[in-house]
Parts: sequence; structure tokens; C-alpha cells
Amino acid sequence: MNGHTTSVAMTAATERDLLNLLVRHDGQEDLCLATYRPSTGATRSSALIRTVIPPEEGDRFVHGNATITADYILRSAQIAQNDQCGLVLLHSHPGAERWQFMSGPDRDTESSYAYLVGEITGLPLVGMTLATGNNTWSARHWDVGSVNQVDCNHCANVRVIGDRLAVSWNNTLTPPPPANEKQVRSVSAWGERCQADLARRRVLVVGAGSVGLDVIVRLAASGLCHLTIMDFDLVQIHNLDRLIGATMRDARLKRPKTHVAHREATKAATAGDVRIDVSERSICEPEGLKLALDHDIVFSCVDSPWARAVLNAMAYTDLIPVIDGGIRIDTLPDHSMRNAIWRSHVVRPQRPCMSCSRQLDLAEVPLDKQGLLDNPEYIAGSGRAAVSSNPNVAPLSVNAVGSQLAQYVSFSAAPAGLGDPGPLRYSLNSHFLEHLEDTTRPYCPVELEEGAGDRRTNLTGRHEEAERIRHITQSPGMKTRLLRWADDAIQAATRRLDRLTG
Amino acid sequence: MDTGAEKFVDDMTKAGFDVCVEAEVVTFQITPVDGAHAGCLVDTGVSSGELDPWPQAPPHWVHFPDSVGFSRTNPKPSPKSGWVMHSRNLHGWGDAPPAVCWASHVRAVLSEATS
Repeated sequence: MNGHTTSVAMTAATERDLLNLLVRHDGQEDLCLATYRPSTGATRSSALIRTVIPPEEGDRFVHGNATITADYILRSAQIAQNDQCGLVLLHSHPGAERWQFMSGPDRDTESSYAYLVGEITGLPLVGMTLATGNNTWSARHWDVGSVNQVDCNHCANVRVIGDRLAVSWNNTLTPPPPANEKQVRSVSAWGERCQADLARRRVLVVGAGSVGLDVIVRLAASGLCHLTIMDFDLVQIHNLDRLIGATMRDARLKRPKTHVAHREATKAATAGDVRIDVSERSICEPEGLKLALDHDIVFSCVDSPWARAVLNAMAYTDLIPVIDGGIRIDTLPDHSMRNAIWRSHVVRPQRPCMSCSRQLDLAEVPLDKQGLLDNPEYIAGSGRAAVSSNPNVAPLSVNAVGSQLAQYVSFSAAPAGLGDPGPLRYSLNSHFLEHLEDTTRPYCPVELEEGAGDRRTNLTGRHEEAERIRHITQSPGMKTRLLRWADDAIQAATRRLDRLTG
Repeated sequence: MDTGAEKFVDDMTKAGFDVCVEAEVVTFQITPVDGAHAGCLVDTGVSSGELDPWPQAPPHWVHFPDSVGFSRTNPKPSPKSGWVMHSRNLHGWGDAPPAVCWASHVRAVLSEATS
């Protein structure tokens, strides 16, 4: 795990259990243990808290501070090992109100058990502190060094996923970015604290098509400091009626959609120090999923069943909330429009998964994985329509964007204390907004894997279409390479001019 | 870590089926209640390569010996000699334990068998 940033994530239900154990009415410090599963991204290792192990009589002594017994640690480490988990040692700091670094006694306690726990469970001990004044968490992974020299790696944040995403930040590793004059209206809408919180979240947008591109630009404009765009597809002429910002030149130069998204997001970004990463991976490829695990929140702007299945599962297995949405336009036999429906929801524990809310047919996943949904021979034999032939229009796709971003704001800023509203569906012909009451189906195989982390069912695999398109975008002919070089030079000059005038 | 194919074998075994793996196909026997083979034990199978996402997503292709025929089907040769795999989408995944869903699906497919 060395070299990685670290993090901890838990559900709001787990946090409630922990608060019941750690916040005492007599104002004294207390402690408890829990198990976790690792969730390993490309650059971040997260501990997903799984099971709380309450102390039994004589397991700890409360005397202003709290002392833990070796029996409690060993018993819990054994429970963790049996469940292929690591161990978390948690304690409270009564009345404190921000990220806590360790006092001498705290460090001594955690370091004295770090090696032993690591040996029993095979995973590093995770230490956590609760500042009970405002329920701010802090955390560290004891994953540096070995044997008697084990040291800790302080986490960048601790994430609690409920009807909103509550993030405790380590201001030393991830300092709050200063709001600037470009963000005055945003700050006046939700306050400096919320702006500093939202700006620091690592957000991934999967899919840079008609919906994803617009989402990306608006997130960049809102002041996000670290945004990632993932799409393997390239700009084609038939995309230009919906891909706002893409040009005929992009299509002629076989530009990846991520190239356009990066360009438009860079133009729109208001953060002083912004980082916009792009990936031409598919979320269905192992490397794509690994990259996604580095993020705090993910937008699903894709319509492929396989990609949506991977994102759907990740929301539960790795406790990374996914803001999903989409639009469907139905036509009549004479090709006139019958209706358009756009839907949005936050996919997360305690909410039905995409399959339970009828947004994803998991039976389509193997077909998509085998490339059959757009295979003319298979389509002809099965009598179904190709997925890529779904109609869409620019004046309506913006509604799917708006609906997803509204879910994001509710989930992040919780206006009037109200978090995500649950699944929403808007029907165009009657202009009716509906709150959907879907519930989790018994035996839902997706939600049963909550917090599985690296032991998740593997939905990823080789994506031949992504490989084929990457070959086109990354190995263009000489003429296209020269034209791209000229285009890049023009773009660079424009950016320089913007900097000089900005 | 258990693979999807191992989990499938485990789930089907717990559901009462005698499962084995031959030529990259996980096979078991099932008795349909309707169709040309009603009341008889019929061999069936699934490609182990299609089971990676089990139990989150069901397989698509249902394998039968080539003696099992359908009036309308979208077939491909199975990796198991003398068998054919048929394109059939499972509807209602997740309404029952995955193994029960899969067994019901195979019975439903067999109810359309004509030979």
C-alpha cells in the first residue's frame, strides 16, 4: 500500500452504530473495534468499515482516557481474519471539532498493536479518531515499514455515505482551496464551507457524450479542483447534434471524446489550481475500475448495460456513490415522437440498486460483454434493435444533465437538511415529475455485496470495442497527426491568450 | 477468492443439483415440467467463461445436447462436443436466489423444446 493515498469509507448506518459506542453521556473518551475490507484503487487505498465489534465486559477501561485490553484486540483480529478483513481501532476525543492527529498515548497504543494485527489479519491496522464536538472523523493506515518499525500513513479523508455524502478532510494533506472572485455566486448559494468541501472531492464522470460532457463542464465551472473524465469513444459526425462544444474538426481529426471534454472543462474551470485527468479506458476494463476507486463520487453518463452494471456494483461493493441518469425517447410507428423520459438517482447503500429500480437489466450484461448488442448477425437472429440506434436530441439531453446535477447538489449540499431525493422520473408528454418508490428485491445479488471491496464479484474484463477505438484514436495516419499538431498549437495559443487576458 | 464459476457450482449444488465441469462447460441435469422433455432428466450447461459475473449477472447462453431442438432459436456451437448453445435472455434476475432463478429459466427454455 506504500505510495498510495489512503482513505476510509463507511455507510451512515455503520456510523450510527459507532457513534452509539464512542459518544458517552459522561463526556469521557471511549473506544471500540471494527472490521474493514480494503478497496484498492490506482493511487488510493480505502478501508471500508464492515462490522462493528462492540466491547464486552472487561474489554476496555474508561478512566477519562480509555484503555483497550489485548484480549479484545486478539479476539477481534481473529473475527476479522475469519471474514478476510482487516481491523480498525477507533477511539473518541470528546468535544474536539476537527481532524485529529495523534497524541503520544494514542500513537503508542496503535503502534503497539499494528504489527501483531497486521500479522494476524494480513492487512494493516487502521486507526480512527472521532472528534465528538461535530462528529468529524480522522484516520490512518498503519501500512508503512515492517515488524517493530510500523508507522502510519494519515488518510486524506473519511467518507460517510448516507442520504448525503459527509466527508471529513485532512486539511494538511488536502487543504481547502481558497474561493475566488469567479465563484462568488456559487459560494453565496451554499456557503464557503460547502464550497471548500465540494471543491476537494475527487469526481469522476464516466461517459463524455451528450450528457457527460455537459456534466463535466458544469462541475468544472462550479470550482472542482480534481476532475477525471473517462471515455474510450471518439467524436463522430453523427455526435455533433448533441455533443455541445465538439466540432467538425474534432470529428475529422478522430479526437477522443475525452479530448473535447478536457478542452471544454479547462475553459470553464474556475478553481485556481485545477487538475483535469482523462482516461480512454472503459469502466468495464480492470484498469478503468481501478481508476474509479480513487474517487469520492462518480457520475454514470453511459448507457451500455455492462458499464452501468460495473458502476452499479461499485456503489455497493466499494461505497462510492454513483449519480446515475439517462434519457429515453420513444417514437411512434410514423417516426414522430411519442414521449421522452429522463430519470436520475443516487446509487448507494440504503437505496435500491439500478437493477432493483428497473434501470438496468443485468441479463443484458453478458450480451454487452460479448459485443452482441451491436452485432448485426446476432441482432438479426434475435429480432431486437441495436443499442446504438437509440434516438436522442440535444434540447432534451440537457434535462438528464440537469436532473443528475440536481441529485448531486442535494446529495452534496443537502438543501434545508434534505439529502438525495431518491429516484426521480420526468415524463415529457404530460410534464409530470414522479418520485419512484422502488424497493430492494429479496436476494438482490448486487446489494448483498455491500462493502466487499477487493473481494467483489469481478464484472470487468477485456473490452474489444474499447481496444479497437483506442487504436483508431491513438494511432492516426500521418496527415491526421500533422493536422492534430496544428490544432494543438492553435489551442495552446488560445490558452496562452486567455491567461494573458484573464 | 472464489471465481464466478466456483460460486455457480456452489450455488447450484446447494440448490440440489449434481454439478460437474466438462470442456469449459458447467453441466447439471434438470427435469422440465413442460415441452418435449416434460418429466425427463435433461442435460444442460453454461460456459464457465460466461460465469465470471455470477451471481451479479446471469449467463446468456444455455447449452443443451444437440438432440434438444427448438422451432425458433439463435444457436451457436457449444465448446462441449455434440452440444449447442442457445441465445436466451433471463427475465426477472434477482427475484429469487440466483440458483433458483437459473433453474427456473432453464426449465422455461426447455418448455419450448420441440424435440
